[in-house]
Amino acid sequence: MFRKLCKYELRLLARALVPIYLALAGVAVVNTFISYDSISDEYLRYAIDHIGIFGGLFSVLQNVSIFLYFGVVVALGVLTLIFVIQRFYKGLLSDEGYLMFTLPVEPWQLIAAKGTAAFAMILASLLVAILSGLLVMSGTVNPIELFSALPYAFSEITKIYPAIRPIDFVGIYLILAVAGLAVLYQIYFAIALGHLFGKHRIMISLLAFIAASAILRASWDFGWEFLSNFSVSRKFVRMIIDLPIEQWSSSLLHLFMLVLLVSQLCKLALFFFGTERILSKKLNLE
Amino acid sequence: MNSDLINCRNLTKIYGAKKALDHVDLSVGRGRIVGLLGPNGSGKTTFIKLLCGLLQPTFGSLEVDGHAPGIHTKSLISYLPDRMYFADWMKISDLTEFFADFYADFDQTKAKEMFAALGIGSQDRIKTMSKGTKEKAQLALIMSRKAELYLLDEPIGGVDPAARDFILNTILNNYSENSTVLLSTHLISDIEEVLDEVIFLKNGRVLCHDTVESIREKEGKPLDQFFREIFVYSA
Repeated sequence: MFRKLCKYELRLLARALVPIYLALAGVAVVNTFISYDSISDEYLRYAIDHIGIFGGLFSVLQNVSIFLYFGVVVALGVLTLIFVIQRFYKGLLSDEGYLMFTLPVEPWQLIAAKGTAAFAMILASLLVAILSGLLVMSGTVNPIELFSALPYAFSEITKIYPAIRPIDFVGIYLILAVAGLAVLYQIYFAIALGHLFGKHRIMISLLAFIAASAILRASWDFGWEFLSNFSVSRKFVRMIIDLPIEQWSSSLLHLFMLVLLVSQLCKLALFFFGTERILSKKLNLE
Repeated sequence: MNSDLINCRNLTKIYGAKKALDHVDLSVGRGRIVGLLGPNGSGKTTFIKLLCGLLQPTFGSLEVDGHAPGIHTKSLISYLPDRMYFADWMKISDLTEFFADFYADFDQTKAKEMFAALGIGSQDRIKTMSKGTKEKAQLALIMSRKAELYLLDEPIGGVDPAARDFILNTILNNYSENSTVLLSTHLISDIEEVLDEVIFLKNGRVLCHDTVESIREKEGKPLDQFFREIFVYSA
């Protein structure tokens, strides 16, 4: 059932986002061909370089197309977020909720499917944005050269932060993914909480999100204070606070990453089960 | 299999300071067409939502087929709410696929036949349909399930008499013998002939739960007139 729920959610989100992906791809292709370096025709190059009006026109066209490209990239980011929030609200808390909450599935499966599909589409949007950027750059930079520069970039990073190993990036991406999901469920939780009220639901949801962020921030600070009270963890806390990151050892970095991962997992669990409890026990579809 | 399909004891639902259902004790058997009757605000929709698991009781117990509302009861119940609950962009083919995916008792052939009878194509989108056609399409999907309990919330409210006949015929022709149909309405004269039992609700309390035949015998008047008398508004 969970798989089927995800399938429908993905279909709904893809239906909204694929046209924007296509628009971005189209604008990226235009930008690729409109870059000066991609023009191989000698006569055209000569015209751009030596005929004033032709060069000016070309420059205007370039500026407009790059402006359009960045406009669509921003629209993609904003619309992805709006659609993800809208799908949760419309799918579970408006009239469609009558259908979804009477399906023979547990409420947690509905919430998990929303989050999974939303997360997949956010990743898809990110991937499309990156690929479109590479496509635009391919007009001026050889993609092979671009990728061959990655090891160099990494070696530069390790020069500054010697504790980082290539495998650590897997951990960093994992933490970012869990943190992203935790923020997504924090949004869901705030919407579900706001929906308990008869009036000013958006305002209450917004306040709930801000309040939850403030409480989490205070808990994070309190957690470090708490850990510094014990002799076992005091040294670790002092090193994290006092040592510049450039001087961290690999084991200190790994321990810190573990703390980050566990804290984000706790945050994710808190908002997931909070949302589940509200929608299971206090569903308010009217 | 429990002998009673619906069983509730002391069922109470309170919204803020208002009691929507007040200590309701009810048992409904199988193979019955039951009218849930009462004026607006009497607790009909709340009772149906509690049966569906859309609401939780404030206290008291509620069982369908011997189980508290949950996955098991949801798989037995086919629910028609008092509103459209499909996304506007969906096509009829999307909806039949959706129902077939989630309900093991959904009969796709029956659904296709009903849509064909209604003149609704599989590629028709919900948003292109009139209000009446949307309601009929929704009812066709609900009645294409071989459910044990059909919960129909105001299925004949706000439609023209011809549509009303269609809806009632659809209900009568498509529910299986052992299934119970619980339908809420305040348009009693239209459904009086099809009902086996009635439950009269007023201010969240059960005023009367009896068979239609017994009420007619005892009161010596049609159900509609009986309803008007017990729900008379004081000027």
